[in-house]
Amino acid sequence: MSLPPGAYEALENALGAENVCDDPAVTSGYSYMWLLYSTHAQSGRYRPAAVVLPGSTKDVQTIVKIANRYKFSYIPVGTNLLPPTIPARPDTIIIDPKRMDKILQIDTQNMYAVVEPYVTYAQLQAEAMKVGLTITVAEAGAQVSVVANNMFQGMGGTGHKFGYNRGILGCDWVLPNGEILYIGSRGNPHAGWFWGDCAGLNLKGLLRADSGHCGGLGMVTTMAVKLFPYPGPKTFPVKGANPDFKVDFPKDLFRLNLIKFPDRKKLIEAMYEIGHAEIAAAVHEEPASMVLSGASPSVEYFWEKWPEFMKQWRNVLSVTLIGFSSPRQVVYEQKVLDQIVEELGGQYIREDSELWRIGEDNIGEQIRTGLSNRLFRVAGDFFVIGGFGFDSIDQSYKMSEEYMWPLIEEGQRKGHFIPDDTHNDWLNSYQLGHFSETEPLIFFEHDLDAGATFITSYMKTIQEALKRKMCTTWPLGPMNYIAGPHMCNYHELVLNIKRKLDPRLTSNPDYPVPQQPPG
Amino acid sequence: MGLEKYRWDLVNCERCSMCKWVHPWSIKSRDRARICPSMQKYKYDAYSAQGRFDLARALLEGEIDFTPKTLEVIYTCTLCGGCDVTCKFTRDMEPLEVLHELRKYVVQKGKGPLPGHVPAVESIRKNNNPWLQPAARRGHWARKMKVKDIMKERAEVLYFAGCTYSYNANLQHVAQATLQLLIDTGVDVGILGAAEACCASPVIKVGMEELFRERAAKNIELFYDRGIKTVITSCAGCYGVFKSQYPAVGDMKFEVLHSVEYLDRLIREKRLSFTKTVPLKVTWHDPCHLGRGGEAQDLWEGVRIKWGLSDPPRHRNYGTNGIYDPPRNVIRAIPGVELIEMERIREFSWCCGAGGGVKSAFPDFAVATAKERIEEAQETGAEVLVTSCPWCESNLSDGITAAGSQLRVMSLVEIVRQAM
Ligand SMILES: Cc1cc2nc3c(=O)[nH]c(=O)nc-3n(C[C@H](O)[C@H](O)[C@H](O)COP(=O)(O)OP(=O)(O)OC[C@H]3O[C@@H](n4cnc5c(N)ncnc54)[C@H](O)[C@@H]3O)c2cc1C
Repeated sequence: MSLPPGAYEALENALGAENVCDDPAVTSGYSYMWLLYSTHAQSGRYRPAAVVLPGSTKDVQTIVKIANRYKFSYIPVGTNLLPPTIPARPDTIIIDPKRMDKILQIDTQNMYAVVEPYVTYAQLQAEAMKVGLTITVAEAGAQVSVVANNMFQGMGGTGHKFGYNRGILGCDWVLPNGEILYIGSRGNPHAGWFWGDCAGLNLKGLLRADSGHCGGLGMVTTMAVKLFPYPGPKTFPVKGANPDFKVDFPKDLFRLNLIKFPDRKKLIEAMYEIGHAEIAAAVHEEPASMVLSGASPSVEYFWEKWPEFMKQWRNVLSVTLIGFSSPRQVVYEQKVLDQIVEELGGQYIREDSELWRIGEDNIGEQIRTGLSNRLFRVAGDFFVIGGFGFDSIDQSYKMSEEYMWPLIEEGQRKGHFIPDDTHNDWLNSYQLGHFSETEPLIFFEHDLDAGATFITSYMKTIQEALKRKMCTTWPLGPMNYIAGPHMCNYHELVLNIKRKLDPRLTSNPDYPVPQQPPG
Repeated sequence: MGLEKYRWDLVNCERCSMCKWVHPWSIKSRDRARICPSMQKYKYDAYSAQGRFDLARALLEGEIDFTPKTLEVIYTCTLCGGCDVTCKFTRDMEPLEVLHELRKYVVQKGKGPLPGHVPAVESIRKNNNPWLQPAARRGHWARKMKVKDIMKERAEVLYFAGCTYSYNANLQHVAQATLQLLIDTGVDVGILGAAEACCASPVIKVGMEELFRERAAKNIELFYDRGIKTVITSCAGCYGVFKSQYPAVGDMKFEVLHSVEYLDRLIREKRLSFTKTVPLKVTWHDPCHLGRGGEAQDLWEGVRIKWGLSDPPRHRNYGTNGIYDPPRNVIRAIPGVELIEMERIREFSWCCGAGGGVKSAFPDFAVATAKERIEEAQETGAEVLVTSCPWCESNLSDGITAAGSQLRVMSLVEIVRQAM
């Protein structure tokens, strides 16, 4: 947990003593991770050797050059929600961007914003809304970093309309050797930030891929992200008091529909039809666990309601219509939706019902995530049973039914996952239904036995997907060695990119793929 | 049980970072999105509730030892409870209780409080106030007023001035104005004079539980002995500790009210009315210990069972049932006064920066936090920042100096008196 001689002083000289710290009282705050604990992986992790607070791109370059000179590694972070931000090697520092927290520009005409890495979605969206714009906010929460999330998945509530992870435009990217790579229009001096692609090899894909490079290929220090039209009030319309906030969007421009279908097949049909009709801003199957946890001010409340709620809330599709051009758009889209619902035997949940009361804040969640971390309230830990199904809506459904839910049931029989017989997922439509993602949710105690069941199931989902030639996603780090050989050895290509860009393994060494397969 | 009681919370924190922010739905701008002054100043995650959870866990599990930095991380927190509000929205955890316990743990280990806290603590021991002032002079602020001395004659209502309003010459007028108002409106009120003793909030804030319990028990006994039915105080610090911590020490057989609550009650009962117009644009600063810290704590003793449920089930404070509406009602009732709200209010109010022993041990941090509040108040276009807490009043005044602002800080009772 210490740096090579001279390295700490070099960092202090470059950044100022107050922006470098190796005291365990400070580094402890970057060393513990919920998911690592329950999956037995915490013991293989370290407190960082130091934490540094750069104030600019130049500072980041300096840090990276010092890392190369003194031969230690670093991990760039956003808000540290994900396990790859916890060092797996002792001589690793954390680059914490808290001083890089500015929104540098909001271009209303070209609809984009330029942000530093410690700007959160809530901050950016709050400023964008003032000028009639918005951004898709990840379900990880509006409190995560826009930059980190766009490089990881960048999927959120309004992805049906605004797309899945398509928001990255121009970027300044400090490579693992300390040089800057300008992405998109930034590569052209004076062209600005407005465009993410560029002539020649487009390296933007390296920033994202399936789930990003997890800090393994350097640090993006400034990013332009796409914004979208927003016809609502200038401040997010919230009412009530903690812990019972309610959202209150004008009904003529924002309309939530919660629709119950006779079965999941019909629900999926409806998702396709909605996509074909090119209506709606957000389309999700909302599982009972997610909806009830979102409405639960306490764990006791959840467990009191759960047995009944689980029976009542089945096969529910949440569809948000937004009048981007005018209220007439909502009227039109509602008519189209009514027709689809009728044809497929769906039934709207009535606005005067208890079910509606519990589910109505879904609209707020889709526009500015604020409830999703309540998923942890249910049992302590929560996750998705396996390598999230990213595919067509049909395929996502198939993965969920064929092997994900059977694994969930196995975990339930052991008493490790909470009882849930709904077989409903958080199933999302992206890009007007051309693409989807499914998350069969599990809730388990923060305990090593339950965690072991979870991790075994997770690995099995990857193997099951591979057997069926289905998409596996989120094979983070070492898991790529399992998926790679089934997919043209893509992991070797990624490894080669890592070796080329980061030959000394300074930048989060084990990501995107570790040099050696797991033992 | 101490910190151990919170082990479940410590290992289950998923570091979602909600504790660092106003709840996302209530965020109105980039600049006023944060809730934690400590994070704002020191930047490292360690200075948030999440980081302090990690620190507490690492200390409990013997992963790390005390260093001077450990103490700095633990004590550079105003205990404002902002983290507690957003965290509780999300999880069934007790960040504020953990932060308190962490300080008690430090004291038990003989490492705390900090040198900067010692003069105040010693003065409380010796003089019954943290200001190094003689106990005998405590009642001097009221020497020219005709008021019952409760040590000599009975009164239903005790006006408890608190240490700062009693001794600080710049703030005594607040206690005088409040007491006079109570007398003028016919309340059967008295004071304790030299027998009034510190509420002991400053000692519990730095983790000195034993001394706190001893002092709190004495106060409760005294109030009970003197047959007091209602305690009214103008100090949010005293109010907060009476409400949230005293019930753990003894049976509170008396009602505790902050003066703003009492003013609101008087107006509603038409016992107080206004004759003059006060043409002022004002904004109200919610003191932490009047707002989110003004709720009675659940004295829960229990365990976490399956799925993290509490056995027995416990009540949790969400920061919502503090005193938020009464001062606003009073302000709105004053002719000519226009109330313009800041972005962060009520349970998401930004702390003034003085609490938790920060003013005495980390004065720069205290002023930086106040400065941010002053800037936020200025953005409203108000001329006056109104509040009702001596710590807030004095630290926000320091913030005005630091910001070079034209804003004025006033206590609510001053405006009320102007309108009478
Ligand atoms: C409960 C939960 C729900 C989630 N739901 C969603 C969801 O709906 N949609 C979605 O998109 N994601 C979701 N995620 C995953 C989420 O995308 C990431 O957790 C998100 O990026 C977190 O942001 P962060 O600021 O905490 O990033 P961090 O955890 O700090 O960083 C994420 C990764 O990116 C790297 N990184 C961070 N900043 C930089 C940088 N500037 N340059 C280079 N590398 C960097 C880090 O090293 C790390 O490996 C969810 C996660 C959780 C825990």
